[in-house]
Amino acid sequence: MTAGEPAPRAAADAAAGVPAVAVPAVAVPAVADMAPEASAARSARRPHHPPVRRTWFLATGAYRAYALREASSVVVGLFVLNLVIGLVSAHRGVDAFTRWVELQRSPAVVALTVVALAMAVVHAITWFRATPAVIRVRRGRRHLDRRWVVLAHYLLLAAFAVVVLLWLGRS
Amino acid sequence: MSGEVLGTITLRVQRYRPDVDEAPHLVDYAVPWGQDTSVLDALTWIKDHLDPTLAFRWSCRMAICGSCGFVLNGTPRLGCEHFVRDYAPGPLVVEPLANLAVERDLVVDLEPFLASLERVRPWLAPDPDDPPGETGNRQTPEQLLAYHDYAMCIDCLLCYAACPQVALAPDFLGPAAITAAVRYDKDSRDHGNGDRLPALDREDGLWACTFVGACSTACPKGVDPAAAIQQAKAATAAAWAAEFLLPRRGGRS
Repeated sequence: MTAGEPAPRAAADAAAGVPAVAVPAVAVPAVADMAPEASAARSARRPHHPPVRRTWFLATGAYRAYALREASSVVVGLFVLNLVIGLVSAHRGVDAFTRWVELQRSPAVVALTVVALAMAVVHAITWFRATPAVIRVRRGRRHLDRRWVVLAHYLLLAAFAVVVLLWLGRS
Repeated sequence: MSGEVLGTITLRVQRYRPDVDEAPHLVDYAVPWGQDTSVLDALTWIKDHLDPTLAFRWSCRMAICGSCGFVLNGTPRLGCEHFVRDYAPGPLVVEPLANLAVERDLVVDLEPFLASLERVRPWLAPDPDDPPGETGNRQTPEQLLAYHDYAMCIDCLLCYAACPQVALAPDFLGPAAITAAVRYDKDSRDHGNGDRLPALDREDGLWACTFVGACSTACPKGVDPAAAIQQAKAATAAAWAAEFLLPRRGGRS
C-alpha cells in the first residue's frame, strides 16, 4: 500500500458515513533495506563473554572439594610410583632393594605415605558418594534410596579389608 | 509491594548496555523489602521505581518457566523462589547466569544452548518398523520411572551457570542438553538412541563432563543432570564397545 492512494475500504467507509481519518504517509522500507547485511550493520548487539580465570576451581567450596578429589588421584599415583620403583629395585637385586627399603624410612617418603593414605580415604569417600549417580536400582515405582548403594560399597570395602588383613596376618 | 516493609537492602546489580557501556559493571540500588519480597520482586521494583532500563527475563513467578535464572551472591538461583529476607542485611549481588555471553544487563545469550538442544534430537522417535498407530504408545509407571526425573527439566540453565566445563570446554553440550537426550533415550516409547549417539559420543559432546556435580546442586527441580550424564557415559561406552565388536551394517555416520 503506498501513500496517497485511497484504499477500497476508505471509499466504502465514506459511503457509509464513517469520518475519514488522515493517515500520514508511511515510508515502507524497500526489500533491499531488509537484507541481512543491512540489518547486521545496524545491530547494537555486542555480547560480553565473561573471562575464565585459571584458578576457577578455588572460587567456591564445591569447586575446591572437586579439585581436592581430582588431586587425590595424583598423590595416590605418586605413591604407586614409589611402589613401582620398589618392584624395579627388587628386580635389580638385594642391594638395590635394601636401598629402596631404607628410602622408605626417610621423612619425605613417610610424609608421602601418610598424605597418600589421607588422599586414598578422600578418593574412596568421594567415589562411593558418586556411585548412586550411575547405579540406580529400580524397585517397582521407586528407586532404591541412594544411601543403600553407598553403604553397600563401604560393606564391600570392610569385607575386603578383613580378608586382606587376615591373609597378611597369616603370612 | 504488599505487606509491611521490614527494611531496605542494597541490590548490587550487574548492568551492561552494549551501546553505552564499555564492559559490565555493578550498580547499587536501595530496595525496600517485606516478608514475601522475592529477588524477582526486588528487580521489578527497581525497574518500576528507580531505573526502567534494567533488563531481565521473567515470566511465571513460580519456578516452572525457567526464565528468571540469575547468580545471587555467587550461586545460580531462580529469582522468583528466593527471597530478599534470606539475604538481608545484604548487599545482595545479582549477576547474569555465568559462563554464557551477556547480551544486556541480566539477559544472556541462549542460542548456543538451543543449538546444543537441537543437536541431541529431543523428541520421541517412533519405531520405524512398528509405529504406534491408532493404539498409541503404552507405558507402565515402572517404565515412566526410568526417565521421569529427567523430564522435569525447565531449561532454566542454572546448571550451565554452575558447570565449569561449560566455560572451559568449547561446544560442550552441557548438562540440560545431555539430560534431554537421556530423557528420551530412557523413554520406552522412543527408538532414537542411535540417532542421538553421534552428538553425545564426542569429545565436546558428553565426554567433556568431569563429574564436578555442581549442576545437580544448582538444579531447582531435582533433575540430577550429573547422574543423567554419567549414565549416558556408561551407555555410550557400551554402545561403542558393541559397535566395535558387532558393527551394524553401515555403522553410524
